[in-house]
Amino acid sequence: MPNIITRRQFVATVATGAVLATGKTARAQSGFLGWMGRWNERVDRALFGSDRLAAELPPAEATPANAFPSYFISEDMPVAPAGWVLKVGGLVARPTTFSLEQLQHLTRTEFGGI
Amino acid sequence: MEATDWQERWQGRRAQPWLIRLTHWLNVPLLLLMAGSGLQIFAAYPALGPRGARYGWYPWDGVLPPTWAQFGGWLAGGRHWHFALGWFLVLNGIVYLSYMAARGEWRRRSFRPHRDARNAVLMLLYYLRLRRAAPPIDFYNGLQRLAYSAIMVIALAEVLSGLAIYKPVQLWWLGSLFGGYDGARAVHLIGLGLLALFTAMHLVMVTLHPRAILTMLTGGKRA
Repeated sequence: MPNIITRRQFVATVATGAVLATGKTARAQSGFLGWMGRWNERVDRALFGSDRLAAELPPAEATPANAFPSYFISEDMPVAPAGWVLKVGGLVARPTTFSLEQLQHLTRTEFGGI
Repeated sequence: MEATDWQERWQGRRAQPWLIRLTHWLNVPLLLLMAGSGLQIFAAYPALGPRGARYGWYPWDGVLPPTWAQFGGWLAGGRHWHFALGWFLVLNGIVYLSYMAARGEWRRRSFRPHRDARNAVLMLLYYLRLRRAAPPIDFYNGLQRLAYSAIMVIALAEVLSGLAIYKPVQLWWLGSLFGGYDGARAVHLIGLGLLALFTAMHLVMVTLHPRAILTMLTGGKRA
């Protein structure tokens, strides 16, 4: 029964994993989480199916352009909390942080809406 | 089912066969870690309904789940754990349900209204001290069967709503079952609440009947 062996390994991994996961789960590329992450990537690929096209709807069933996506006027406006920063870290060449002001001064690209 | 028939069917079978015990106990770490990592994900947006148009009926709108209940350290960590362990919880459920079907265990474990409804009501009245004597019990009482069957339905809704918010674009048809992405999110959180409620009741009941814990460890005597 391969299921049982997999789950025994899994229980052992979870036991050690639970102990190790006291801080941030930074090393998600290796070990149990890495293995499961690659499994999930395979599931993603199966769901996407790179060699088949998405189903084409007859024009009558297509969502009218003005009905999608559904925009609405929000009752509250999101405001960045005091001291908010965007932290760029992990597998990047230059880990850094951006304040909201710095972000707003970066080069902008405007996209036209519908 | 005739009484003799019943005896014959379960002849030599333990009250809790090993596969039922294994899947039962695997649920303990799996559900704990799934709940913890799920709350870690939920903490990123602890509200129900789309941003700017929240549902309003959720009483803890904007309230962060306590940090001791979160698992994974941060949002990505919680997601890694949740999406890794979810498969094992599903696998565990499939093994359990397949075993129930293959060995006919569902006959003595699942709730069947014509057999169990009356017994469940009488048992409830007994627990509420509105009735002096407990109704006759064969393997489980009607209330137990109702609880153990209902939790399967809740677990199924939990898995389906979870898949719907895991891949909302590809599995849009699944999401539409729950009224879209935000509906599926609400079902997923309510499911967690019901699972927690079930677990709390379960713990109270086994504390009152500690022999059940022993049976779930050893399997109990052979019938």
